Amino acid sequence: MIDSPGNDDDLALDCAGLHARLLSVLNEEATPATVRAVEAHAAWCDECGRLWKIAHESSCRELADFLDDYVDGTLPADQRAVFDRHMSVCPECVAYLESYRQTVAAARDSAAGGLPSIPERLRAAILDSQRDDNRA
Amino acid sequence: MSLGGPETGRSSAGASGGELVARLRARDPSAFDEVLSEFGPRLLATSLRLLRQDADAQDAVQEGFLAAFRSVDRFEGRADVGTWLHRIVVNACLMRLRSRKSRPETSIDALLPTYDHSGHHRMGPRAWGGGPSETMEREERRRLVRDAIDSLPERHRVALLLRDIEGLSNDELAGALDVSAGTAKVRVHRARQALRTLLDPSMRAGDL
Repeated sequence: MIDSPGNDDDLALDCAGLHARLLSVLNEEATPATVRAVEAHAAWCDECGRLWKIAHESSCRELADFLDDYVDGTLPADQRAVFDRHMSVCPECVAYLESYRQTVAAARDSAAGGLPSIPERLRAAILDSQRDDNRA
Repeated sequence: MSLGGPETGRSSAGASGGELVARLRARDPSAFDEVLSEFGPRLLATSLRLLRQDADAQDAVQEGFLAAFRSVDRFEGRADVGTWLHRIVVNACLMRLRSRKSRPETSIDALLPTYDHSGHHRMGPRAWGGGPSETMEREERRRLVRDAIDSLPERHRVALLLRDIEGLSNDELAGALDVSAGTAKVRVHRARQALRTLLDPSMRAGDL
């Protein structure tokens, strides 16, 4: 059986096959055979099973695990689709995501502002030690 | 070590490149003075954030600069001078943190979000305002955030500082902390979640 979307009767999917079909399944555009093939793969593959469970059940707790990758822009497209799908129906996660983003921005901003000056004693200690090293 | 954070030791254009390194290798006294003036304040700020004690922070900066000056012949020039110095000073700080008498690590669990039996938020998060600058003076907000970061459990505090402020990549963080990339990633994520919890009362829309 050729592993191509659209001809999924009795197809044994690998992970790439599941990822290629996940969006169409989530968007309810897949054939029943494709849905069965995706479910069959997700039943025995731990990693895809987890993704499928999250896509299917879409709980806030499971989405929270992806939050940092989502904010950092490193979430793979299929997982981002799962994330976006949950976001479209969960205003609480939208609020949480936005405040998480603001938290990261506030942490970065907290270090802005004036810099300390190097105390003269520290400067002298470093330069003196350096001179001693040179003489040694 | 690529440094993307706002308060890193990244050099200015004038001090990067081979000319300064060549003068350091030639033991030109003015080059050491120049490096100290150019990068010292930022590196002291980094050290103060990590160590939180003036004397300790200054000692780490001194150790870092001297270690850098002694090893300048081995500096390959792949990173710029500021990045190279930053890495050395951060390592000096981490060694000091490891050598401190370790207090029992407090749990971060109480600061993480909670969910009901179905996995949905137990306490519905509320939107924050358009930025705390709308409701607080900028310096007041920064102080509040710094205090909140300082109150995080120690290893989460350090992970957040190194990732989000000092600008280490996740792999660099893992290397600096001597943990797996997965552990480093989870530690930063939990630190951000905990910091969000700590800031939430002050940042909610309309509360200030």
